[in-house]
This record gives sequence, structure tokens and C-alpha cells, in this order.
Amino acid sequence: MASVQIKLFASLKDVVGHEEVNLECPAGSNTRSIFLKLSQKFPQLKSFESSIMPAVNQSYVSWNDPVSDGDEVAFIPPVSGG
Amino acid sequence: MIKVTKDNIQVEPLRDSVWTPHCGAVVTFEGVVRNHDEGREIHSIYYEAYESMAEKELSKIVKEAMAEWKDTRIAVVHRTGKLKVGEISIAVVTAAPHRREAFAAGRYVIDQVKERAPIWKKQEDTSSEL
Repeated sequence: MASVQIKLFASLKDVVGHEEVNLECPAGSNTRSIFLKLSQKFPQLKSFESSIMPAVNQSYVSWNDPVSDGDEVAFIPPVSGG
Repeated sequence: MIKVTKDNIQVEPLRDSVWTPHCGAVVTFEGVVRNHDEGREIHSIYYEAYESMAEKELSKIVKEAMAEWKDTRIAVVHRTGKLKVGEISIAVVTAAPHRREAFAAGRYVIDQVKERAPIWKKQEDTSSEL
């Protein structure tokens, strides 16, 4: 099992009601499987899937990238800085 | 200087941090909170950032620009929190031997920041309070 810390921002934080969620996931998990597991806890998240980008340890990654024990995972909704 | 900060952005120290005697051009871009958006009157914007990742992403963008436009020196600072109309949300300062590289690098940095930096704004119009 791997323990990951999930960071949430902007619209996703509003939906979940937390800035951080800790999740236990099976070894061999990737960003997509973690998002799906999180969506089971917070079903409102599912509708965001097509518009967000995953990040691991503060870098953008793909939906197939592996996630390891202790990683910091974030799901980034469309950005609007500047 | 590359930073995400809650503090007011001061442009002069950024200029001083990038200018060297071999630079004949300094270009400053300031993003400023304006009082309208799509017909609505705006009185402030709240900026939220994934601060650690935003700083990493800003660093990557600056490295890309410096690789593309050699001899360019770049500072970028993005502010977070509640900003009123007229306050600076982002400053990008580029210094280079000639204006062409300074303008091009600055344009690249602000365009990439708007596309990639994990920062979000929530506009507050005159009918809502945070």
C-alpha cells in the first residue's frame, strides 16, 4: 500500500471542502486510479476529470504516471493566474 | 528573483535584480487588477496559488526563456491574496543586451505563466463580498 497526500485548489477545494486529503492506495497506482478512488469518496469530482491536469511532487505529469508512497499529488483545475 | 508572495509587488528591486551593465534594454510587464470583466464591475480579485508548484513552474518557464534568448536575465513575481483595482498581480522584468530579446522573453514568460502556473483568480464584483 502507498500513502499519498492529495492537494486540492480552487473549484476542487470548494467541492471537496478540504485543502488536503490523505489516501491509502494499492502499490502500482497511477494518477488516474488515485483520482478515481478520490471520486468515489467525493462523487462531485468526477465531472471535473476532463478539465484537470494531474501533478506529482509539484510537476505536471500524465494520467498514466505512477504514484509512490509519500508522493504529493495534486489535481490542477484550469489555471487563471497572471 | 522568482517568487509567489502575499506582499505588494515592488518593481524597482526586480529591475535592480536583473540589470547588469551589459544590458541595454529592460522590459517590464505589470499585470494589474482592472475594474471590469465582461461587462461586470470588479472591485477586487482574490488570487489562490499552489505556491510550491507555482514557484517551480515559474522557474521552468524562466529557464526555457533564458535558453531561447541567450544573455537574457529575468525576474518574475506573482502575488496572492486579495488585490484591489490598480494593484499589481504579476510583474515580469526582462533585461537583455538588446530590446528584441528583452521583449520576446518577457512576452514568452507572461504567456506561459497564464497557461501553466497553478494560480487561480476569483473576481469579486460589486454585488459580492468575500
